Amino acid sequence: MITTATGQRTSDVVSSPKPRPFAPFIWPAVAVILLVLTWPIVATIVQAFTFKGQFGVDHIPPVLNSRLFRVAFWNTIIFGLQSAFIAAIVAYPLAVYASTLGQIGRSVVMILVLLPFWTSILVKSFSLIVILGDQGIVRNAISALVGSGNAPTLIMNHVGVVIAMVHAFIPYLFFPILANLLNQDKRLRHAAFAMGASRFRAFWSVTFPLSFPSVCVGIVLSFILSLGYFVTPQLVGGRSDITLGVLIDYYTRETLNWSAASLSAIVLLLTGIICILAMSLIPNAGSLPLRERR
Amino acid sequence: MSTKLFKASWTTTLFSWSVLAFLLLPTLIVIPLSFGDPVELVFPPPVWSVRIYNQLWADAAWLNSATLSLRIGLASTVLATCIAVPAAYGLYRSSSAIRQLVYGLFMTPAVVPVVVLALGIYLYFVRIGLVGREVGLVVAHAVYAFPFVFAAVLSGMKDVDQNLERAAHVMGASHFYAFIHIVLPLLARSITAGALFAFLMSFDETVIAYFLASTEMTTLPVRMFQSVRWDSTPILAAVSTLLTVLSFAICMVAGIGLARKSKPS
Amino acid sequence: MSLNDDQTFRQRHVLHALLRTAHKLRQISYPSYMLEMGRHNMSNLLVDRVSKKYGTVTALHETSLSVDAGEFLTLLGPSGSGKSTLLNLICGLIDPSSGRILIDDRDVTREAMNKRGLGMVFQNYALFPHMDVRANVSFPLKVRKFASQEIKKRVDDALGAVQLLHLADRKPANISGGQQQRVSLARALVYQPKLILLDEPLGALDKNLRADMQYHIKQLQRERGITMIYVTHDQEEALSMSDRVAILSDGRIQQIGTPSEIYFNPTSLFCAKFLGEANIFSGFVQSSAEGTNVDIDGNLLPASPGPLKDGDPADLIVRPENIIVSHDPRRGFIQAFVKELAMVGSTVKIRATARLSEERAQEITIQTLNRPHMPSFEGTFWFGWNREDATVIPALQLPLASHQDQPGR
Repeated sequence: MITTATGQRTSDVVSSPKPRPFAPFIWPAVAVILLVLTWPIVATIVQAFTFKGQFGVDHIPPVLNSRLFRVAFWNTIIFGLQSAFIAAIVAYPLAVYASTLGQIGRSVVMILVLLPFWTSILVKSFSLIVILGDQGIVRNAISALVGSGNAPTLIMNHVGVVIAMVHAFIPYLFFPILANLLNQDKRLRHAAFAMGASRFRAFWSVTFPLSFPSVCVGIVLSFILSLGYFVTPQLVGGRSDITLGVLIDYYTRETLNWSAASLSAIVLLLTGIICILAMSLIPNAGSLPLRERR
Repeated sequence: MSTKLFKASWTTTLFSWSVLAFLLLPTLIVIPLSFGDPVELVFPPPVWSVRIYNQLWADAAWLNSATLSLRIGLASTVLATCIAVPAAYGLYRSSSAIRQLVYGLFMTPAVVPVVVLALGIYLYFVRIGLVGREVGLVVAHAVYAFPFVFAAVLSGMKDVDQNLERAAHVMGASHFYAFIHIVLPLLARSITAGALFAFLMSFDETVIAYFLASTEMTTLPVRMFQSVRWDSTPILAAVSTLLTVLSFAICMVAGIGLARKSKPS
Repeated sequence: MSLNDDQTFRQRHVLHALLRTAHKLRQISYPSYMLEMGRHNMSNLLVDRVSKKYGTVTALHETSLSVDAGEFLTLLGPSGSGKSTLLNLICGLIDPSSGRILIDDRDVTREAMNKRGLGMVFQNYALFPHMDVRANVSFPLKVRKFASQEIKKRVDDALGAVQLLHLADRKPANISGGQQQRVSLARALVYQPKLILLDEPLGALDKNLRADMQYHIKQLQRERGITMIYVTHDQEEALSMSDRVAILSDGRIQQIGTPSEIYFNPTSLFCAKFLGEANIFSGFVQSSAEGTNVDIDGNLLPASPGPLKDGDPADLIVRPENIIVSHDPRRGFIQAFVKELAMVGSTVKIRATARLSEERAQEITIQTLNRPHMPSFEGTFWFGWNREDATVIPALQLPLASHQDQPGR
């Protein structure tokens, strides 16, 4: 066996092609992506530093310091963090449950999680408005319990946005945690029980710490996704629930302030990059004391 | 052999099913809603009828948006597949030093937030006059869906035995001939699954379509977006139901296709 | 019956046993007088000083080889010997680090694999799973854009040659391993390449099937006059099918010759030990009136003439079936004690300890016919051999004189 420089293992027959016969297969994709993606992003970055045709940085501080921007930025962070954590709390027991099921049961649960995942966000937002709205079933049910005056507004506000985001993030936490749980060596829990631990203790001392890296990965992933959210805050949020994504739209469409829009986009990108770097710092994100591979 | 130790407690079970209900409810509730009152959306619907659907069929704007989304979806899927399949094949087989770099480039559309992508493409297309043009949206969606098709085909390449290509070469076939006649048929399942999901992604895609929209070119999701914000017509329920059915159908077809593939014949 | 007749009979019997299948297959035995040197004019394939290095690792040292049209040559050797590397260099799968490859006097070293016009049969068959048998066999003809009438004719002919016409519409997954191999062969034959390479094609088949396939392959090769280069690690296969065999080890051709040449006249220790079993005695060359001998502690062991001079360190090689056994001491014979005796049907295999001198003893292997009048012995006997049945080759290690300690040879 020979391992090439890129880590691909090949048999003794190293098929060393004459000068790159596979390059032509790749060129079209490279060309399209460079043209339609890389170039626009570079152009956006350049645009962020261009105001009224002039290249410079003077126009940047006013935008960043404006109340609008700061509200949007903090909303983005808060929404993302709240939703990611709540989704983690909600998804974890679901993952635990799925890990205890047999092959078929687990597949069923996975399909049930994937179906809404692939449904259009607009359909989901629309449904949530109907369900959580003033005449919706949920509110009606709560009103029946606590009286219609005391029932909280669940939509067109901060709560609504968080609920919608949690709904979207659950799969991003469910699958990594499930994968981790399935990979854990069952004998570790067994050992804990043998030593007298209760079910909860075994979980808290053994299972949960081992699954922690995957929870972190899921939270960071969800947070990164939330940064660019554009549709959800506008549909199920209130007037003050502006995020960076909404702000970009506002600058582009309403005020035609493209530099401000690009600036917001850069801030968004940078935040995402920082999170990705943070993710690589999560210890043991990839490797854990796992079942021996037989 | 599952012992009591490894079964979930009843609280966990109950909670889990509640979560699943929470996940599925918004997706499923549009179905009964769409068969209800054409004036005001209320659950449970007081009357059952198909009048909302009749409204939909009669509404040219909505139908145009639907057909537009269909056109864009098909075209962008074709484009994405045409560049992604050879790219995945070429990258998998190549031993070049910049392999990782190219892989990173290919994954960029999936890593960048959609709104940043949409803004960049918008600013760029404005200058070259592609805003509001179908061609522009097709290309943008193709790039958006590209990483997905690419990843699907790349994982399918594991099952393509390189010896088959070598055999074809010895017998006189060029790399391209072998790719078309030997590799593609073996990748059929991965390509189909990738293409199906790429179509769904394009069909549901809102942000880029919104940025590139014009009054003549509003895709279905964009029209829905505007409708939810401004007029909230009950037609939304019908459209949502149809979209949900479409999503479910594609998931089922692709899922079954992939499941059969992983079974050794 | 004199022992001489015994021994001649034994020898001929063993030789027959060894080459029995070969006789069936090779009615035209390859003229062994055609030496390496004189072949160039008729060459179908010429490998000229080809080597292959991967960084600091040399998979194949500089090798030259000439294969004639219509010849069946086997590359024989253990894993890692370089035989597959050589085959893949000829095929064009890998590029040589040095040297040239010429097919029909055409330099193909720089040519792509798909332009060389060779045929290849792989160990795992490499049948296209999404095509049925007929489509698989038609593939090379479709690549060459033959007319569909012509394709049908040739495919039918090829499938007929391997007797699989009745399975033409099946997919490879629905036929047995042996049948898959035959389809693979038909696919290599259908476009009539002048040279076919076979890379351990029968490795995955069971013994009976293998014997059948060996026969079929050889028959097709002979009928159609195709040059075949066959790679295997199975000695029996190599010896029974080939016109010539090249033994490879450590990236070099150790010896090349006809099956009987390499079996009875090995030129290196590796070849002697690789093919069958060999008794090896180390000493110094010492000529005498009767001919060449190897001197071991004063014993002059007879051998056929070789390229060495008196005083050179040498290994003497005698095959187990060429050893003559005697109940009584005879001139020139060596005493031995039986360690193991195994009767295997018509032959007896004996492992014994030979006393070469006061201090030197060595294990030997004898294979001899089991006959009713054969003396049964447990204990001492004497053994020797005919001069022409022993070969002398240069020794790699200096054999030590008897008064020194042997470092565990």
